[in-house]
Amino acid sequence: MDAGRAGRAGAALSPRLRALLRLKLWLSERFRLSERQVTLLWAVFIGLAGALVSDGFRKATDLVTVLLTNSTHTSIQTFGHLPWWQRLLVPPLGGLFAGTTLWIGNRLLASIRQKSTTDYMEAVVIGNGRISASASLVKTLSALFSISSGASIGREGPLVQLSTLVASVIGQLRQFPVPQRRQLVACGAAAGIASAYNAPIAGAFFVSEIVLGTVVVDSLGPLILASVVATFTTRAIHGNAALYQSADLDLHTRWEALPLILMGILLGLLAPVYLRVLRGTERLFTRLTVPVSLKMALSGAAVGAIAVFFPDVCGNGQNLIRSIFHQNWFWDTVLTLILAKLAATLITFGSGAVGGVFTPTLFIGAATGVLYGQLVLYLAPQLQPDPTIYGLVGMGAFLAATTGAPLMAILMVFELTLSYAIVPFLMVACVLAYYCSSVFERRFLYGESLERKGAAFFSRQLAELNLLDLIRKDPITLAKSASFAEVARTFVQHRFQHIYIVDEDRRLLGAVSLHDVKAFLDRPELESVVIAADIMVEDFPRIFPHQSLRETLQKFAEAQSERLPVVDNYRSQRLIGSVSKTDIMLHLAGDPNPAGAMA
Amino acid sequence: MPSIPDGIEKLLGAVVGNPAVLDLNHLREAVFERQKMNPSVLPSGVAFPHARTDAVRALVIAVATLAAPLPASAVSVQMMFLIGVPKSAAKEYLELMSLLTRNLRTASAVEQLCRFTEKDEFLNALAAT
Repeated sequence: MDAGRAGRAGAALSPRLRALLRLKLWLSERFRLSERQVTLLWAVFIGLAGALVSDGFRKATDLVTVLLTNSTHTSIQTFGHLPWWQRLLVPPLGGLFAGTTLWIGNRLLASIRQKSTTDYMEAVVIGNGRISASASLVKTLSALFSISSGASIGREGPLVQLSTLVASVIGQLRQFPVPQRRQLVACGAAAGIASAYNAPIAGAFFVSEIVLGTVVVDSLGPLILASVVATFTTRAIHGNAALYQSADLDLHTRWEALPLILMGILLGLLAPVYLRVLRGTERLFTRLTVPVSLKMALSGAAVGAIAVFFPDVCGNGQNLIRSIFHQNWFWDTVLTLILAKLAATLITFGSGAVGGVFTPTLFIGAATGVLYGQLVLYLAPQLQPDPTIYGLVGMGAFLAATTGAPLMAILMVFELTLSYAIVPFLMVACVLAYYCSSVFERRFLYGESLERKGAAFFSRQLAELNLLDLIRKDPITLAKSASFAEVARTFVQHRFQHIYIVDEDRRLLGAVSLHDVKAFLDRPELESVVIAADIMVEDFPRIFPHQSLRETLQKFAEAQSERLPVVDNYRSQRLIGSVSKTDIMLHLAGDPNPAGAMA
Repeated sequence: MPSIPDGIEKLLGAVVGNPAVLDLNHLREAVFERQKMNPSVLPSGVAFPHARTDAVRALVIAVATLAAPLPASAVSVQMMFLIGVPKSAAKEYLELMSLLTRNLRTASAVEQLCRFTEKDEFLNALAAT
């Protein structure tokens, strides 16, 4: 509604319509959905959709595994039962399919990839919440071939990819503004992690701590909802059990805290080495001047060669972690498995296979912890240490040290094991591991890809944030001669707290506040004597597009309003839209260094 | 023949010297500007020339009952309220307008009030309406 359309609505309201408006006002005041509530509702849907697409991907990988190996077991069991020549051939065959898919996809979708990203972290933190659907599907299909054929890489990567894609598509279809789209994509990531690990709290905190880099209530609420809904949905399909639930675990003596603390420090020192070896292998593969399909086939052949002797290395490592906790393997077996799994993961990851390193990293931490526990048992048998406890704490500590997210690591291991007794030791080990690791390494898992895409650009973008990106261009406006009846009707029809008053050239004259007039909206006598000009606040705060974030936030603090109008410049004062405090806060929530950005 | 603007001038004359009026000319301009946009007249024959302006520092009201009705579009005006409201007093303005329009919505109520010539009698009757 604008100034030019004010005349028609100037007619008085009939008593019936007035009663209806009163009822609607009463209802809308009590049940009105703010933008944040709308985001929460969509978060629920994204949680559900994320879990369903994740389940679909799981089923698809199982199906392709059956087709490639003619077995219905999990990866470890499948490859353990296959004859040696099949172990040798299936991974390179899968690698060839995966690489060819990427090669064809990259050729066909080169123009699309330039316009939007497939990286959900980029879409949330420095992007516009848009993820390329076709490029994402190509990546997912490639991951499907890799994972189904025994590549040593995590399934959580494609699960998150698909969940975030669903969220991004919803955001684009609903034409949400950029901050809301980013928030929904973040919800998709939380749903993907939660459904991959049956871990709702860690799902939300993974995104909050690693992707957004901060824990802000405004953004955490939708993440938690999406995460919980995704977990419930996954549990309804696959059951309630925690992934690595162990029998009652407890320390035999409090003195065991000392070796556990020492383990946290050691894993913290080991993590930078692991991260550098991962990066080094990736660099090594980039020097190979062969087509990606051949590169991935070669990587598959190497994994197949390892699998001839150690079939357990195939797959993401989830079942291997379960085995290491429930089977009393000797130290030499554990050490061999660590080395074999590490080699397989490095080769797969380095070749550019699509997937995650989260679960393989969990395995390295868990197995190293178990190995360390066995060493403690050997050196100090009087402590009666249980290597499983060391494995669980080691898993968390190594995760904290490699991801730079100790809070998420603590929550993740607690949810994976549901063992409360180890939590205090887990917390100390995770924090120590993180601090030790961060002394030598600032480029953690996940953050690295963003760094490559230009952390400097990101900081600059925030410092020079163009408010036009956050503006809603459809503010509710009326002419200053609009009748009180029209003001009342407009407030009832829309969700905003203010109606902006503009002249014929859309110059902002002021704003009528719902707070000022709501007690009078049902007074028919006022309709013929009061107009918008009589009740508008002329010096209503307004924002200019060139203003810095600091100035903008200051305006919000002074106005105590959720949404403020934006005018083109000081001279003409032409209304070009409105911007909400929530949108700006969500934008800031994606900033790893807000203080720097605002300086 | 007198008109509504003449009536407004008379009422403005009645507030000269009122300590709440900071700038009479400014108040005049604001009232006539407001009249141009949409003259406020009740079907019962009451006009409310008014303005929210910085020319007054408190609510200022002047009222006149007319011996001879003045024409204003389809209505004959029998009573006029000149109202000046400070810009910061939007809520007080709405409360006042709501009270006046509710009490003066019928022609009989207006006719009854027009019989009073003394200020106190008029205000008591208005309050009792």
